[in-house]
Amino acid sequence: MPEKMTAKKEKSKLFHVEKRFDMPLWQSILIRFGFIIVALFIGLLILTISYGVNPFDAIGSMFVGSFGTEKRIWDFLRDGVLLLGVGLALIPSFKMKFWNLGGNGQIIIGALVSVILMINLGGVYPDAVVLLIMIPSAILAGAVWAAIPAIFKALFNTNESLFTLMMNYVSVGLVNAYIMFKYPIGSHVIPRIDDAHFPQLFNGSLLIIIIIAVLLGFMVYYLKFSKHGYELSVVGESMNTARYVGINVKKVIIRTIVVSGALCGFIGCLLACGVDFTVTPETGNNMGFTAIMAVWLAKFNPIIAAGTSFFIVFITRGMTKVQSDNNIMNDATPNLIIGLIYFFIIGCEFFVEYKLLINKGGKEMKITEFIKSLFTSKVEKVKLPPEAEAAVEEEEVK
Amino acid sequence: MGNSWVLVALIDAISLAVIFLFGCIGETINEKAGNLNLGIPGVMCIGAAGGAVGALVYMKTVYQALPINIDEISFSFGNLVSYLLLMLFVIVFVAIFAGLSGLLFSFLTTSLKANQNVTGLALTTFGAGFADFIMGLIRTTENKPLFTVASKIIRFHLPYDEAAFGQTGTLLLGNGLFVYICFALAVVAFLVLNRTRIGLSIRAIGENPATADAAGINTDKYKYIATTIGCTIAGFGGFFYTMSHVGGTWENSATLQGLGWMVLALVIFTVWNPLLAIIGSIAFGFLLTLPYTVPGIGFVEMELLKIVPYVITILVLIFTSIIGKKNVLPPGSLGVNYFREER
Repeated sequence: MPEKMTAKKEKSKLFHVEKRFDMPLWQSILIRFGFIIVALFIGLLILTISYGVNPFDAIGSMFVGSFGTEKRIWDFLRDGVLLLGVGLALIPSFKMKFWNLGGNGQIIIGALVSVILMINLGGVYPDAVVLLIMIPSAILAGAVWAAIPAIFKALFNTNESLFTLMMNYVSVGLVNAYIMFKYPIGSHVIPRIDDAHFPQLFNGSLLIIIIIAVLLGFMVYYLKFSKHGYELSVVGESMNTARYVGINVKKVIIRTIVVSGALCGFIGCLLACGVDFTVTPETGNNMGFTAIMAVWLAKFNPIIAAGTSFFIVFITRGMTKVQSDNNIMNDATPNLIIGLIYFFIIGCEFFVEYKLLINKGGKEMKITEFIKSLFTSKVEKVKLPPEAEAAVEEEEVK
Repeated sequence: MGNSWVLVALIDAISLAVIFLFGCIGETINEKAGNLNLGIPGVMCIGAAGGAVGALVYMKTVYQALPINIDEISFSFGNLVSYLLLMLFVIVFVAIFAGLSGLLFSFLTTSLKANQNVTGLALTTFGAGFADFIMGLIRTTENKPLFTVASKIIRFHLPYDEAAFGQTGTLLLGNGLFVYICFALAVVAFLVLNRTRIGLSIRAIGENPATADAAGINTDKYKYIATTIGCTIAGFGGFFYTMSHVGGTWENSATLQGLGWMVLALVIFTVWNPLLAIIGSIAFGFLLTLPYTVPGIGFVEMELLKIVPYVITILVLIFTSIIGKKNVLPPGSLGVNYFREER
């Protein structure tokens, strides 16, 4: 019997992972920054090896891409706030652990409704009237587009990530159908619409920036100080707790997703009447997905999301510039390098959130301690009681 | 049998169905282990790059020594060896490329416990960029004809009397070897998932990893195995797209990415069952070719027809969730990572 017991000794693992609660903010920022630098370095290395790009020039081009001219700066700011706007729309649903992957579709349907109204009402009524009809309609369209999956999630627990994903394609299909309906001959694109543009302040970007800044303030308030924000975070933490404290979970799910979809619809409207003046199946440029990355990196904090959104836009614009400066015809490079950077950031979150302990001789130690122990030859001997020491010696003799 | 447009559509549909089916089997294995891999479009792009590299290596080495006359293939020993070597090269390269992407996904989600949705989206971005990047490097002007030749060899089918069998013959006999491999693989995947111990472990982890862990199943190990094998299989979908469906050409990754997203729909449509996936993928392929083959269809109807697969998928998703039967629902812990020390 006792022999069996010793034979069944538990195999000790080399690594042990532990949740970490104690990392200071500066350290976590330093880790993330370090990983981004490494990722950028690797990306530039790929460019240098495959296309012979001078890495220092490339870094320069990246900054020129975002800040080179006044127009570039405004475009950079506009793209950044639009991405942030989508991120702000998605944050409430993600905090509720509702994986809304349908941002793209909600943006596109908002833009489609706006464009239909611009084409049909523009020129007939004054621009202000059209805008007043258009903006609520686009918001409503986005809200409805998000509410459909939300209602089924609330009633039947239908998987929301897959449902919202499918809704994206339905909206793209509707855009294509509308284009074919309206412009059956020719190149099948809606030409630039000249009526009912979004009002401009100084230039096309400033008013949009201001609106999103206001939205940011509202979202911070909504999530942190309002009853709605509290309820949705409780639902996200645990549905059972929410039910127990008397929160109407179904209502909260539907309401939160409607807010989310409505904001996405609004961004779609801004894109249609303030930036593109048309709608294509690619309207929104996949922002519904990119924004997920941005807000996830920001841990669903609206203010940090502003930083991550601008960072992603900076990298995208920078890489596009590097590519055009070096006559790289292959437009894969931005995607390749952005993908690489994503991987590194995703990977680095592990080191921020978890502690990796290494098992060496039955003793768990941190990585830094482990590396130190590799260089110090003296291994600290564990002091054993005299009887045990004698037993060990006996075994060694054997 | 008459040569109706339905048959023509079905012949096209089979080619598309193979792309879907490879992807669908792969994603089903992924999801059965609880990994909602949104990176599958990226994985398919990476597989396409791997297949192209494999075909190029074959053309530059074996084909130089043992060329196959693509216009008149005879059953000589040399041809057979050359043909099998092409298959070997392609399979090895796709497996390396797509398998590595699967390993990367499982490393990030299983070992580093990163969020699956975010990792998947990153993998799709990266995969699309990677495929375009590799294709840009290897598809030089002098190499392009080589891909066309390799594609013709891959699409080579056993000779049959076309006059006697008509289009029905083309439908059943006129496909390349990979088409039949794919359909066979679906059956194998079904049997492995539902009739073996490994399959049981994988499904147990997907339903409830804590219970599986308590029952002594190494959750991390099986998640790694399922994701890597699943991604490898999905990679062949991408390979089949470039080297067979579009005949060795490559414009950019956008079309393949779109097909990859449809794979995610198909997995739901076929309720995580590789056998149903055979029927489902043909149905999806058929629906996708329909707008181009139905005689006298208008532009608007054509675009609306393209939405149909997605709408049907949504209806299936709703319907299965209302029924709520265990064997048609998504795996219980789909998309959720498992960390033993978390309450």
